Amino acid sequence: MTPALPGGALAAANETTVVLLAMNGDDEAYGELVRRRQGAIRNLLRRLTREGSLADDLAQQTFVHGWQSIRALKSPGAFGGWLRKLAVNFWLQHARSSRQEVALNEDARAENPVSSVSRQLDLDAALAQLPSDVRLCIVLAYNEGMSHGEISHTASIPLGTVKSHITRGSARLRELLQAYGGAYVQ
Amino acid sequence: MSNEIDERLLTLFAGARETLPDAEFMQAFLARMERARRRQRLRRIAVVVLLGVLAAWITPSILATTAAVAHVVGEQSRSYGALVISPAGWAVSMLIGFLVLLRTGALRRR
Repeated sequence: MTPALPGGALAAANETTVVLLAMNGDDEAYGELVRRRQGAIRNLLRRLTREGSLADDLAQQTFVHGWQSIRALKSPGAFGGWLRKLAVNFWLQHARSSRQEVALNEDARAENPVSSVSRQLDLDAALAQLPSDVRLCIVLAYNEGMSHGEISHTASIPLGTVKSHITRGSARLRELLQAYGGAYVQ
Repeated sequence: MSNEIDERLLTLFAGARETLPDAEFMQAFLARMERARRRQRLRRIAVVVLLGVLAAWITPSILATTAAVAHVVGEQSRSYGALVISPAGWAVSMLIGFLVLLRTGALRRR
């Protein structure tokens, strides 16, 4: 059993120690982990959902689920990747449950891509034009700096598919950003 | 990180990363965690109550079955006991004892 740290020491403690405390049921330590990781997880989900409130809702679901199942974590060092996988799973679940709605939106975009493209010089808008599994691979590669193998493991997508999604997705993203005429062209 | 990564896209993603205010998020998260904790507690209480009800329901039949089995075993052992202390039972048990000694070689001279 890892003993609890005195007040204020949590913020200064290294992540492994804080994760170990959280794994032993210390809720304050888990709160500290949430404080440290919330920015990264919310940013990741914002790139995937393009909607701040939905991203925050999914991030909270991720952290609550993490709190309930942190004892199942194999090693404290794996905490970051484990949390990211949880977040991706929550997003995939959400995407699956609203697949019909997403498909309808994608059809509408395909009918009139220029009007939505010309509206905003926005990376998120360009990302939203990509199919959800391609978007996931692109975001994990560029936003999270993950290797193809790590993406394959996190998103449960075969390695070959990840590679092709990234190649095709990057090309499509470049095209869309060039159509925006914004930051990518300069 | 893969070599096939487009550096300009990488810069664009890095630029899009925001520093998000955490106070409101943390407050909402803590409230949600509290709700989850309450649900967890209620679930545990429900499981304990369910086990109690289940125990109260099946205990009488288990006790009745155990009593019946004990009664049958008691009856059987009583009749075996009476048999062993009868002259015929005594003779048979002596015979069995003798056969055991013979079998183990305890009666053989050294």
